[in-house]
Amino acid sequence: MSSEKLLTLKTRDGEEFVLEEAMAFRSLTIKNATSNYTINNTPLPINVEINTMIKVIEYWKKHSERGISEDELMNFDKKFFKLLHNSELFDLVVAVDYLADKGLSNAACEQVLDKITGKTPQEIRDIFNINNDCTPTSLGG
Amino acid sequence: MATIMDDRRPFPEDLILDVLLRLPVESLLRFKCVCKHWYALIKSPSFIEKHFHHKNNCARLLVCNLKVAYEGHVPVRSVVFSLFPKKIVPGVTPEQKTLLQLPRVSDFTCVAGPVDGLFLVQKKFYGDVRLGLWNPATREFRPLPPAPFDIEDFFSDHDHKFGLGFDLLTQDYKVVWIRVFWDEDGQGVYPCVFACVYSSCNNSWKNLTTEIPSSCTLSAPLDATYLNGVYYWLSRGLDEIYSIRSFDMGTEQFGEMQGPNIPSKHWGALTLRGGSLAMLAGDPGKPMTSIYDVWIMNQEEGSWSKVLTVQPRIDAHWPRNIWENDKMVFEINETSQLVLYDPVTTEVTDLGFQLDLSIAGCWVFNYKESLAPIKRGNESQGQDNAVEQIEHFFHMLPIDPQTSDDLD
Repeated sequence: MSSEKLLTLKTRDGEEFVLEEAMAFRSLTIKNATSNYTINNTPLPINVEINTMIKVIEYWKKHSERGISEDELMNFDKKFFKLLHNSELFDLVVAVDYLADKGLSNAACEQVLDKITGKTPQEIRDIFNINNDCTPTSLGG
Repeated sequence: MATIMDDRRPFPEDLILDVLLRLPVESLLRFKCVCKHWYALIKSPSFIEKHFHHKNNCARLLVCNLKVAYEGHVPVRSVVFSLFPKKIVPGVTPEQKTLLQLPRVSDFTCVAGPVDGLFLVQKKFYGDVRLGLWNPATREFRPLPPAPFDIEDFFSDHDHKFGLGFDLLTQDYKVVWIRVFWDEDGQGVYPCVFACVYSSCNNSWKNLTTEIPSSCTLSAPLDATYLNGVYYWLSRGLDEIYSIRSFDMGTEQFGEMQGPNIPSKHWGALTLRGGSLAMLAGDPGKPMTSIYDVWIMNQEEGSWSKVLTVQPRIDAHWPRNIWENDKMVFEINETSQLVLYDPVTTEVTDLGFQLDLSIAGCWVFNYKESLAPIKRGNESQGQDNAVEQIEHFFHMLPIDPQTSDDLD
């Protein structure tokens, strides 16, 4: 079949997997890392956990499909993000930020945006796990 | 760093920032109290600026519609500020959101803006003119103190123009006010031009000297023509040739420069388009044959170039403003309706307004919400009751006026 160049990656939690280079290069971080790295079949370590990486690859695969329509992509994105729990979404956002994939980063940010618009401050604190260090007087003017 | 997650890595700061920058002002105001860090962030001038200029913050059409009815000899004005959605579907009258409604007011005269999401409103009761600064998104309002125009009694007010802008160096919102006074009683004193500037930081006015001749006519722009620290007006002297007069908010100096090459018999108005100073000009001519040119100024060189020509094939109309770079808002003369015209598709969309044919006014703005604070320092204390303050600022007429003499 096609002689696509393959890349072996190793996640933070020790899992190894193989990916087509073209797809892996959606991540600027991976792309830059391989340019100063002699590929000797040694896996390239990436600072992402396998569960999150699986999601990223699922997204990349769909968005690399030939002949897929805008509408189909939109539907896929909707379903894709809908199935994520808050914590999974946040892990994804953090991972994608590290991987430096602008397209997915934007999409994920928009999702976070949707989740927090219209929420109360306490709900925000719960979502982001933030401590309430505000006292009424500390917010003068 | 308050954004911590238990045993996982903390949510990166730049991602929080990325998300917050896309939020509407309403949400950000609510989220100020999530934690001290978010409070400081949302209030910081750099965040406010980035948020305002973020690509998510699209300019929406905002219409101020002023109508006048008479009850005896008392003019009862009604003012409505309506905001349109981000996207207007061609041919479908969009839903409006009422930002402010003053159903019975006697002294509202006009509104100028927006600059960084701020508007200047004006009230006038006989000779007494007062201004107020308003941010609809943060719901802040501040009446400005009276200006120090030391005028002899016999001067009668002829014309005045405002400029609202930002002094980039001192981070200060300023208002420049130019008033031309005629000597109606024939006291033999030539007409005079007075100018003064207001500083938001100092909350005070200062007199200015200006070389602007009284024979010169300045036109109010369609959208406040403030750009990178300078405010611009379209000017015409006795020779009828168009030129541009400016006021630099930083140096507080007036200037003059060449306008685009437009025949003096043509109609023209300044506005902003895509981050540049623009002039809309044209020969309104007959219905269906009017042609409008849109000129853009290169701010560095001061040169003008024509970027667009629109020939709307619609009934007799009057241009009101440009939206989204090439769509135009027209007022149809006969019906006084406001419509949106798309020159690419030639579609006409009724915006759902019936304007007042008589004296009143209608302003069509390109509005982007902002967190820009009007008050500074300790004055604020969370006073976001703009509607209340505005109703207090203007003279609101009671529903049942007892006597028309009772106008205090």
